[in-house]
Amino acid sequence: MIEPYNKLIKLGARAFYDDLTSTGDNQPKTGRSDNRGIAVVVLDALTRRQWVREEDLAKDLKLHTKQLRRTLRFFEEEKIITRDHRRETAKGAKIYGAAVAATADGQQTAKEGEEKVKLHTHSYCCLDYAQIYDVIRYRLHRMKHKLKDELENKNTLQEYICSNCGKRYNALDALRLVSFEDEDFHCESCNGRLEVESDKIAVQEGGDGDDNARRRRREKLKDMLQKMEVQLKPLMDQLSRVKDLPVPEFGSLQAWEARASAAVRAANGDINAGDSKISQLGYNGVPYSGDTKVVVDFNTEGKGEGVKSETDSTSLKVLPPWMITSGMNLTKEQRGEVKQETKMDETSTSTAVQYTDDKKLTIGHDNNQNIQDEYIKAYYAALLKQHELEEAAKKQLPNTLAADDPSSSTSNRQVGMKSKREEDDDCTEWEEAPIAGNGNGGYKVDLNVEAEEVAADDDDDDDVDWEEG
Amino acid sequence: MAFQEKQNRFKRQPEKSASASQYGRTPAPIKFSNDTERLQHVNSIRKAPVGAQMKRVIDLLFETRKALTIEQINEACYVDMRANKDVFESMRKNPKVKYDGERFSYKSKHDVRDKNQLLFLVRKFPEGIAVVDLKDSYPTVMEDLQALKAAREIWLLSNFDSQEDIAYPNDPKVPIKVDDDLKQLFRGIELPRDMIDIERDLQKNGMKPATNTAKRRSAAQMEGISSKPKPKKKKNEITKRTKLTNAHLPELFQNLK
Repeated sequence: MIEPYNKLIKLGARAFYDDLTSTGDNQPKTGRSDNRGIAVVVLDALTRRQWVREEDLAKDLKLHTKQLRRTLRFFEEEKIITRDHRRETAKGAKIYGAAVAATADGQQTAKEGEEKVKLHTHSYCCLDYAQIYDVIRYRLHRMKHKLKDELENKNTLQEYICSNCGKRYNALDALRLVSFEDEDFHCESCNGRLEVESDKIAVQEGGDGDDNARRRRREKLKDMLQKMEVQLKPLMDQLSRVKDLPVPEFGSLQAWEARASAAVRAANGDINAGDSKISQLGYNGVPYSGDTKVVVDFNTEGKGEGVKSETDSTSLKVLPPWMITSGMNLTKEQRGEVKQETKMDETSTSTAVQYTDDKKLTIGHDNNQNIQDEYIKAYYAALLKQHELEEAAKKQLPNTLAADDPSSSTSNRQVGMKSKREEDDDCTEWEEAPIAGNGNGGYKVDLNVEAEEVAADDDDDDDVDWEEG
Repeated sequence: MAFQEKQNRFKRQPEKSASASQYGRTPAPIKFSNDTERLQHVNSIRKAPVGAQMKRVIDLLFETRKALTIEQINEACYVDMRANKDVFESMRKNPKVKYDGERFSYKSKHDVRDKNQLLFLVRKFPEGIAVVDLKDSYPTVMEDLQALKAAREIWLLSNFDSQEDIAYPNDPKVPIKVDDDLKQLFRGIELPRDMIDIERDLQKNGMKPATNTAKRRSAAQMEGISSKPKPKKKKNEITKRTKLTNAHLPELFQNLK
C-alpha cells in the first residue's frame, strides 16, 4: 500500500527538487559544499521511516543537523512533511526510541530525586503522504492552467512595475495609484511612473507589438507544454496509479507512539495491554503533566460509594479539651461541637471520628502547622498555670485541686499519647488527686508526635475508673 | 668524460633504487668505495624506528597496489623484514596490510577495483557511505565518483561539520529528468498558507482531495495541540531608512522599497 506512494515521492523529489542545495540564499555555493541532491536524499530516507527524530535522521545520514533542518524547514513550507517540536526529558525521549525499537521497557517512572530534570526541545518529522499527493496535483494543475492561459492570452490581472525602484503592483492597486495630474499610475514610494509588465513565462525578446516576439513566445509556451507532457509522464502515471489507493496516514506523533507501543505490547503477549499504567495516564510518549489526584477507596466491597478524593476530606481534627485554651482561634468543628459521622461501609455507623497518621489524607500542611503552633502555646500556658497553682496548693490546700481546671492535673500521661475517654468530656473529673511536688516530673514532650484519638467503648476501660459528673 | 658520466649515475643511484618502479630490477654493480652514500642512506632507514619503517613499506604497497615478497620490499625501500622481526610482526598485524604467508599487499577498507564495483558498493549503503572510506580503494576512485555523480547514479553531499563528502545511491527504479524551466515553474507556484484552500481548489477542479484538514484539526484539538498555520514572519528588508555601511556602492541599492 505504501510502496506506490513512496515511488510518487521519489519521482516528485527527482523531478522538482534535485537541484536544491542546503546552503542559504546569501551563502556562496562553492564547489566544496555543493549539496545538490540533499532534498532527494532526505526524502528518500523519510520514505524508509515513519516519525523520526531529526537528530537521529541527521546522524543516520551523516549530515550536520543544521543542514538537515534547513532542508526540512523548506519541505514543511512546501507541505511535504509534518514536523512536531516537543519539550521532553531524556527519559521522555526514550519513549520515542521504545516505539521505534519495538520495546516497551523505556517507560519507567522517574525516581523521586529526579523531579527537576532539564527539558530539551526535540524535533520530529514525518512525510505527509496525503498533503504531498494533493500539493503535487494542485501545482501540476496550476502549471498547466498557467501555460494554457498564456497561450490563449488570458492574462486577466495586469501587472505594473516601477521603472525607478522596481516595486510591483497589480490592477487591484490601480485605484490608489492613479495620479490626477497626468491620469497615469505612479509608484507609492518614489512617485515614478509605472509601466505595464505582462506576467509572461516565456522571455520577451522584443516589444509587445512585435509579431516575431509574440510568435517566439507562443512557440516557447507550446514547447513547455509539450515538455511537460513528455518529461512528467512517469509522475502523471504514478499519480493515476495511486488514485484509488488509500493514503498512508501516520497521524500525530503522539497517536503514532501510542499505536506503536500498543502494537509492541500486543506482540509481546501482554494480557493487560489495553489498561497498562502508561496508557491510563495518557503517557503515550509524552510525559504526563496533569494534576495527580489521590483517590482513597474506603469501600471494602468495591461498589464505588465510599470513594473520596483528597480534596473532599478537608475537615479539621477535633482537638481534645486539654489542648483547648481561651486564647486559641478554633472553629466549632475543632472544638467538637459539631459531631461528624463517617460512613466506613454499609454496616458501620460509629459516631466517633477516626484519624490516621497520614497527613496528606486529612488536612493540608499549612493547617497542620497552625495547629501545632497553637498546641505548643497552649501547652506552655498550661504548664505555667499549673506551676502557679502548685505553689498556691503547697501553701493553702496541699491535698486538693480545683475541680473545674483540667489543665492543673498532673497525671503521668504523656502528651501526644493515646487517651481513652467517654464522649462527654466536659463533665469528667479525676478520681485520684495528684501528689504535690511531682508536677514537672510527669511530662515527657515529643512535639513530633501528633495526638491521636481512638473511639473506645466503656467496657474497654479495665484499669481506669471514671466518675460520672 | 666517462668519469663524469659515472659520477652522475652514482648521484642518481639512491633515488633510482628507492623509487617504486625499480623493485624488480637489481641495480648495476658499483664499487664499494663509491657506494658509501647509498649505504649510509640504507643504514639510516634500517636504524629508524619501527613505525617509520612500516610507513615506508605501507606507502610502497599503496602506490604499487601489488603483492610483494620480503625481498622485493627490501630492494624497493631498503626495509629488511627478515633482519627486523619487530617490523615484520607489526606489518603482519597491521589492519591496512594483507599477508598471505609469502607476500604483503595493501588492504583497503572496501575491496573495490573499478567503477562498476564502486557503484555496487555505494548502492549497499542507502544511508550514505563516507568518501574517506572509499578513497584508498584504488587510485582513480575519486574520478570515478565524480563520473557517477555526473551520470546521476549517485549523490555526493558534503557535511558542514567534518567537511567530508558522503556518497548516496540514486534509486535506478525512478528515472525522471525535468528541465530547469519546468522546475522553476512548479516551485514558483505559491501554495496557500492554509491547506483547506488547496483542498477547495482541488474539489473545484473535479479532483478529490486526500487531505482532510478540518478532521485533523479537530483531532489535534482533542489531543490539545493547536495545528493552525502560524503567520509568516515578515523578512527584514532594506529600506531607505536602513543605515548602510557600503553606501558608496549605489548599484546595490537600486531596488529600495
